[in-house]
Amino acid sequence: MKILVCIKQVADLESRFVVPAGATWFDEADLSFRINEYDEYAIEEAVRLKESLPESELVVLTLGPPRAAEALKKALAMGADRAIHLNDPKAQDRDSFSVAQAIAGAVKDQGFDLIFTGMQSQDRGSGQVGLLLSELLGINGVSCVVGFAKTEGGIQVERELDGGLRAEVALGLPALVTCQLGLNQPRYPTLPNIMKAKKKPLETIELGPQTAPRVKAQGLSLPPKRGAAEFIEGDNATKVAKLVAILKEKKLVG
Amino acid sequence: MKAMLIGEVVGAKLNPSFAELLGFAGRLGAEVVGLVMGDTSDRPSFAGKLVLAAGPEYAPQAHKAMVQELVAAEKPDLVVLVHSAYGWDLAPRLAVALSAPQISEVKEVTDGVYQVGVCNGKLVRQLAPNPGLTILTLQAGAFAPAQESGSPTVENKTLPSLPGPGLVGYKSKPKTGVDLSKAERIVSVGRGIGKKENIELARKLAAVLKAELGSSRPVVDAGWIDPSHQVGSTGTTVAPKLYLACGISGAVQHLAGMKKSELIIAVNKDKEAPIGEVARYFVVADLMEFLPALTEALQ
Ligand SMILES: Cc1cc2nc3c(=O)[nH]c(=O)nc-3n(C[C@H](O)[C@H](O)[C@H](O)COP(=O)(O)OP(=O)(O)OC[C@H]3O[C@@H](n4cnc5c(N)ncnc54)[C@H](O)[C@@H]3O)c2cc1C
Repeated sequence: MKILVCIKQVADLESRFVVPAGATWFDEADLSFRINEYDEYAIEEAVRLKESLPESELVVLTLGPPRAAEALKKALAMGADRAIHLNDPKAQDRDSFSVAQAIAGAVKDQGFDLIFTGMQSQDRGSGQVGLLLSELLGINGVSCVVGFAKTEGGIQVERELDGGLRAEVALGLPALVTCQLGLNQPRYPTLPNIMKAKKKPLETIELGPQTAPRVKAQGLSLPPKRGAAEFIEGDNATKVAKLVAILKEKKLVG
Repeated sequence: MKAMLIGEVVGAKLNPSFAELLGFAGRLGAEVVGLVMGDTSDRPSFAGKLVLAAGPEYAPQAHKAMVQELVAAEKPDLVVLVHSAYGWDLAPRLAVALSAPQISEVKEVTDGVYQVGVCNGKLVRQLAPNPGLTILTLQAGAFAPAQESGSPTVENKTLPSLPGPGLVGYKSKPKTGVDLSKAERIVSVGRGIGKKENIELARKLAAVLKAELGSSRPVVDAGWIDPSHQVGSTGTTVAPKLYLACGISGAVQHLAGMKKSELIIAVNKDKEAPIGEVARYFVVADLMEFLPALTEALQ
C-alpha cells in the first residue's frame, strides 16, 4: 500500500499578526511556525495505517516556502518514510486551487492508494485543498473524518456533522480523506526517532512560476468591530477584586 | 444576477439554514433557483424555482452530476451552500467539475468582494473571484435568514446512481455525562488550561460559583474531559446567565455554541483573542495565577 499525507506549516495562532500597508498576507518575521493541527491527525492516522500494513510506504508532502521543510522533518520523526517539499517562496500568493493543482501534478503518476490531509488549515481555513486534490486526481474523496477503518477492498469512515451526529461512509480505493480534530491522539516524536528521521530522504522540488489564481486576494485587515469587551488588567489582586465586584453586582455570587 | 442555492438534507430533514441562503440571495437581489437533493418532504417557501432531486442525501458524485446538469440549464452566476459538513464537502467537487473559483466560509460581501475570516478570526481577508460562475459557502449564522414567503414552482428529478462514496448510516453521540443545555452558569476551559491536571483549578472555581464545567473541543480531543462537556457547533449549544471562558480563543465553531449567553467573561492572556468580540468583560491574565486567586476570594 502506498500512502501519502499532505501537510502545511502554519503560523502559531497565538501570535500578534502585523499586516504591512497594502499587503495581502501578514508579516512572517518573528513568528513561530508549526504543523497545521488538523494535519497532525492526518499524519498520525497514516502512520498507524502504515504500521498495521508492513509492506507499505508512507510519503509526506508539503507545498510551502523554505521554512516548511521543518514540518516535513517532524512528520518523518513521527513515522513517515520519505518527504517531498514542493518549494515555493511565494506559496502564500496561491489560492487553494493552485495549491491542489501543483500537488496533483507532483503525485498523479505515483500510484498512491490512500491520501490523508487535514480537513482545513488553521490559518486560511478554506477546507478546499483535500477534496480539490481528490477530484483533480479522479479518485474517491471524503471530508471531515473522525473515524477511520480499513475494510476488505476499501475504507469505512465516520464523517462528523453538526451537533455530534456522525455519518458512516464507505468508499473504495484509491481514496483521499480529510482529517478532523479528534480522529486520534497524535504522537510526539521520540528522540531516537528524531535522530533516525535525519537520515530519511527529503526531496525538494522547485515549483515554477505561478499561474494566475482563480481567486485574487485584495487585502487583509483586522476585523472591523472588536466587540464591546471591557478589559480588566493590572496585578492579580486588582483583577480578582474587580471581577468579584462585577459578579456581586450581577448577583452571581452572594 | 441568478443564484443557485443548494440545501442540506440530513435524516430526511431539510436543514433550516436554507433560509440563510435565501437571506443572502435576497441581499444581492438575486433570482433564486433552489436545489434540494435527498428524500425529504420538507419544502422551503420562497419565490422562484425549486428543483427536488430524489435519491440518497449523501452521494457526492451523484449530487455533483445533478448540480452540473442544472448549472448547464440555468446558467447561474453563483452556486451557494452553507459552510457545513455537507457544503464544504460538495463545493470543491463543484469547483473542479465546473472550473469555477470557490470561496469558503464567506461572512460578508460588498460589490463582488467577499470577506472571510482567517487565523481563527484574528484577521479578515478580502477576496475577488475571477469573472464568471463562482461557488460560495457561507459561514453559518453570518447572513440573516429570510422571512420566507411565496411558493416556488417545483421541478422533480431523480439523482443518477454513480459509483463513489456512499452513506452507510448515522450514529449519534451517546447521551451520557452532563447536560449543559440547561445550565445557568458555566465555567468553561480551553486549551489554555495547559494540561489535564489543571482542569481541577476550573472545577474548584465552578464549585464555588455553583456552575457546571464546560470546555472547548481540544480539551475533549486530548482526552482531558468527557465529550458531554464540549460547547460549540459540534458539541452542545448553551445560553447560561454566566459563561466564564478560561483559556478559550473564541473560534467561530466555539462561539456558535455560546454567544447567546447572557454574560460572557473571558480570561485569557492574549488580549487579541477573538473571544473579545462576544465577551462583556475580558480579564487579561494567566489562568494559573488568576483561577486559584479568584476561587479563594469567592470562598
Ligand atoms: C468543523 C469543526 C467543528 C468544530 N467544532 C467545535 C466545537 O464544537 N467546539 C469548540 O470549542 N471547537 C470546535 N472546533 C475547533 C475550533 O476551530 C478551535 O480549534 C477550538 O475551539 C479552539 O479551542 P481553544 O480556544 O480551547 O484553543 P486555542 O484556540 O488553542 O486557544 C487557547 C487560548 O488559550 C489562551 N491561553 C493559553 N495559555 C493561557 C494561560 N496560561 N492563561 C490564559 N490564557 C491562556 C491563548 O491565548 C488562546 O487564546 C471545530 C472545528 C471544526 C473545523
